[in-house]
Amino acid sequence: MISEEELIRRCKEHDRSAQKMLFEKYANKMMAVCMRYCKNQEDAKDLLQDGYYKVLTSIKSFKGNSRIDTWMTRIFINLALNRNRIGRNKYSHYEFDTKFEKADFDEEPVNENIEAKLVIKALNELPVIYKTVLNMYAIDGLTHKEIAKQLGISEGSSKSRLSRGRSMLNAKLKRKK
Amino acid sequence: MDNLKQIDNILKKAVADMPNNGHNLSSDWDAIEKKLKHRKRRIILLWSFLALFISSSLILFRLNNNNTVNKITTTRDVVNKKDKSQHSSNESIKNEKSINNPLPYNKEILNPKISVVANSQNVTTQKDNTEPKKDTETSNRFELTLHSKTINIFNQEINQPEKIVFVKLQQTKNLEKSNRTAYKQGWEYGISFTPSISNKIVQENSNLSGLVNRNYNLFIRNQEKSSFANNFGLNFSYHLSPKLFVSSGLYLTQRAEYTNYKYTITEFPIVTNGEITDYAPLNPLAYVDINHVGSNLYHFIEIPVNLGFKQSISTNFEIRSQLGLSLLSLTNIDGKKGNFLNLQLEDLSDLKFNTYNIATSVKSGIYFNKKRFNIGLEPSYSINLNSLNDSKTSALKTRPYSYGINLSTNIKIFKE
Repeated sequence: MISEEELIRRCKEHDRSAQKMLFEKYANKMMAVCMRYCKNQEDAKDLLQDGYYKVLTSIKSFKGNSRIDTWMTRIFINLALNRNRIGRNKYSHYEFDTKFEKADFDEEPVNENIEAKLVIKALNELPVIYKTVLNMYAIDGLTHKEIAKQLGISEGSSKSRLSRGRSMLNAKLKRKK
Repeated sequence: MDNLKQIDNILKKAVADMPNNGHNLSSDWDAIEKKLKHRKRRIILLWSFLALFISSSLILFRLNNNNTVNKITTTRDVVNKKDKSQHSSNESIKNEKSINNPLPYNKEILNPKISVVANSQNVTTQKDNTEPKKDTETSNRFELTLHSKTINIFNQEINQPEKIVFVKLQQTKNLEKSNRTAYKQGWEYGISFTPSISNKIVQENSNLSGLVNRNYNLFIRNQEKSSFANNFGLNFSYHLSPKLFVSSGLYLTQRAEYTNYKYTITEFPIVTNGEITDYAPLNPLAYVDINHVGSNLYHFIEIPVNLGFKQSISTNFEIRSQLGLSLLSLTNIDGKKGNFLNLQLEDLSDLKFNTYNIATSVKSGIYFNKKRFNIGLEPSYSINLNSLNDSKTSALKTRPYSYGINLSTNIKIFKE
């Protein structure tokens, strides 16, 4: 088993076997990221391929200031945000759920013991603008400043979307439960 | 509101607990590997094209050099044989040879102390100021004695030497000019810089035109203006004849746009079957304020192939006009742009653009020529022929263009 530094060095030299090893090492983790930012598995699969292509062709710019998977996750998020807006996936993400817009926002917290599958399903049902901020902040650990920069919005907008997203998810989880 | 922070923990836990979905990774790797190989092929193709172009240029250059040497040798042989049969004096032979180089002739003709006897095929000089040698065999022969009041030209005596000097100088200039243009075949290498103003033509992509937001023109398109860009690179041209040349080079080219967005997104487009069918108002909490001022830059590597025409307008100046096509390879993009569908601001580096583009350009201007170099100033215009946007993902077709002043300086490698 080669070290991560060696793996990255070899990837920078376009060593195909090292590139495959890097893919295999983080594919599941990145697929999970893709699934969170895409509506269905087909889109996620597409994003996984495009993301890895971008990672492998721009790995020379990786300076080692962070973990490689963190750097890769950022690349995948960037791509996902782009695809969610103008993606090749027939613009399915822009189907606006007006019924959900009319739903009440529940501020009473839901019980933590809830099935993971239900949580992910509820997250995927949120409008994309809230789902994205929740994903970026709560799961991927980006700050509001970073989210604002990535999405081209103000930090205030990011905070309000997060708050609204939490409230909507909470309401949805309560209903599912 | 703080109560709901536990939602973050629920989410994290859910993501960690989610089982692997059993996705087949090997097919994904195959697809990625295919893309990587395709990219490698494209790079190899580009380099092969460049190598082919440079090597064929070098071969052409060498062939031209060989032809020049052969021609000079042949001319000298002919002259030597002719000299031996027709002239007995060594001085005549030397003067016959001097016709191959126009410079000695010009020097002598402008020296008022030297009498010149010339015809269309040879030139002989007399170094004393006595009677010039007359030859009645050729009708177009003329004699010029600058210090004498009487001139015999084309076997006619004229008593107005000033006019003759004028006529002679005019003929000298014409001869000098024709000699110089006759030798203008060869290479020019140099650098060029074109500061320009860049803008774009935007049209709707008919396949996705139903996806353009009704506020796009008001909020985005009308807020995108011309911006400064430049083009810098190496150029080389081969001059096929006194009037015609082909040119190419390798340039770093920019196209640009200035953006000044200031709007609030208050509604969301409802898309059904790939078309906006309605707009739903956003909750005021979810309004998005866009405030962005900046320049978007598209960086290309450009390889042009131009056909050029030139026309001398004086001894040192000429007009050159060029028209041609360029291959532009998109290398980098900087900036942010409003999305045509949801009006959100997005980073250009995340968008999909056509890597290879074809552009056409035209330029025409004035060149100051010296023996070994020239400096040119040419207004130029260039426009992309195909859309910069990817036609599968963008509802808009964007064809950038630029107009500017091309400043170039070249070193001449002409055969003489």
